[in-house]
Amino acid sequence: MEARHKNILIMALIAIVLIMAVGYAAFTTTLTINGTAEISTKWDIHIKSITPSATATATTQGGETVYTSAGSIKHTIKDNYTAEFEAVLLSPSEYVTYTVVVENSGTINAKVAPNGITFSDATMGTTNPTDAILFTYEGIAPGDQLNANGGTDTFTVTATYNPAITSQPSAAQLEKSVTMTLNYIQTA
Amino acid sequence: MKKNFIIYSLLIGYVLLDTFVFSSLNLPYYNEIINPALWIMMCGISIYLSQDSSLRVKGEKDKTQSLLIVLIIYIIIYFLLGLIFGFERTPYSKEIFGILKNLWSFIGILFFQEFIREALIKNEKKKKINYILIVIVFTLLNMNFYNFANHFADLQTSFTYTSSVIIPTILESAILTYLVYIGGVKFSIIYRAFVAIPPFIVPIIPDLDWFGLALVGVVLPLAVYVYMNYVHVNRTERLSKRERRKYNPAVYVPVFAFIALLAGFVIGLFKYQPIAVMSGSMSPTFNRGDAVVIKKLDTQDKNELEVGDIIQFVSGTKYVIHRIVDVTNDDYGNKLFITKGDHNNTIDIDKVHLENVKGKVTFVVPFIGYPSVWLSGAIS
Repeated sequence: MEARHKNILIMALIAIVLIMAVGYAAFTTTLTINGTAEISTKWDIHIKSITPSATATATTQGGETVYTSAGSIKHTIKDNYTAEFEAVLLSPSEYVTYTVVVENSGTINAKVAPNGITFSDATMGTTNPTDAILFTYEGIAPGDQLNANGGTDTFTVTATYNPAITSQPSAAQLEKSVTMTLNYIQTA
Repeated sequence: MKKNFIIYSLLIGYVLLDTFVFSSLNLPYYNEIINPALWIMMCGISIYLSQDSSLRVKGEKDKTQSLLIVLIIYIIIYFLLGLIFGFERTPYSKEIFGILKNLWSFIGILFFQEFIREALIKNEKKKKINYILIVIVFTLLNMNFYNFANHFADLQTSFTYTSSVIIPTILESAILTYLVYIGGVKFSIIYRAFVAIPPFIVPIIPDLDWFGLALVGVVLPLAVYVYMNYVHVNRTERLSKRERRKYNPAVYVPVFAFIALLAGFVIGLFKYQPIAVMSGSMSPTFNRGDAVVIKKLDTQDKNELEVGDIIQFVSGTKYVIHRIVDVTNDDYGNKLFITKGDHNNTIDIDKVHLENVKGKVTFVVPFIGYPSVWLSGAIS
């Protein structure tokens, strides 16, 4: 291909890129945005561990810890920023506390984004919730720093029996799960 | 060799210091001042040690244009992938000062690395071992060794990390070395700029899973090598038309198209997707190690399913492929399927709701699912 033709091709390709950029800017609200980018060698923030503790008696079944006499609890780390917590609480005195540790293994300092930590449970933070099981969290807030090269942040997610419930809930109401999503950005 | 020995020693020393000393100290302004200063020093020493050597480049303008064409096409395809896979936000600072700081702290380092790479090549142009060492050393330079062992905690994590990070890093180091060999530092800087800068200046990038990252990380260096090798050979070798045809990248278009189609087919981009059969519950219709091709169903297709159809559905956290043996309704009038494996004695415990049906088996390919079965067995 002649040099002149190559230059024309380069210009045409740059024009396509510019048109795409305009399109992205125009349609950002309708594009599917799945969350924050995960691992690269520089940016590596992830949920390192989740440790539950509960008022129930713990036994081991098939290698997994199961809490009996207060139902069962389960947690799953779905990806670097997302975890699911599940609790079955049978009486008002029971609760489960999950201790979550987030680690920054990358080389860039980070902080919790303004929309920080989100849960799939719509009743969280509302007044007079009616669900039998309530989830709350403590120890993390927007702006909390997470330093690079091994910095960690620890917070708790707790499932409790709603003290406002006075009648016996159904079996389905005594079981609840929530999905937590973290959002970190670079510290300026 | 002595000059390169000094440069290699500096680089290896930097890798060790960065991994075992600097990362644990968490020094303030390490990314902004200390690290760039170290690289400027190493770059200056390398340039000084290579000042008596030179790199002859033929057809520089033609090669530059060709490289720009390939990389702009890569940018277009890369961001179009976001329309298929969705996008994800980049976590880097969006403020002007933050962007400039990141460009200095992270992109600037890459450019210093390329000057050092060029110095190493200039000093020992003819020795193959030199090129191998360059690829290895620069691969090590661009890996993050903090918590490195965690990426190999189990076979699955090892496999995905090796595929999506290690192999692309090695191939990137190789293509950069090749680009410097045929065109000098300018070419490798252009390549790195196109690949490394976008996440720092754009707010969203395609949300590729580990397989997508691995594919891009392998195909891009390959495509750049094929095309640039063709341009380089045209400019430097006296070949006949027939011999030149061997290097023509058009020869590879069917190969790349096949790779793209196969990847899309495997990851489920199209209406039909292959799935490896992991258990023998549907024997003898199909057996463990066979592959079934699933046709994805919309709501209308799902309502037309009948007894005898073999469907793929979600059961708890797993996908199951069993035959419909009965159709019924729940208390609200919603369709429910009762399923059973052909080899099982009893029907499945849970009935299948319409929304949990993913697809229908259309045909079976014997035996080709065995690699996935073996890998899955090794992982679990």
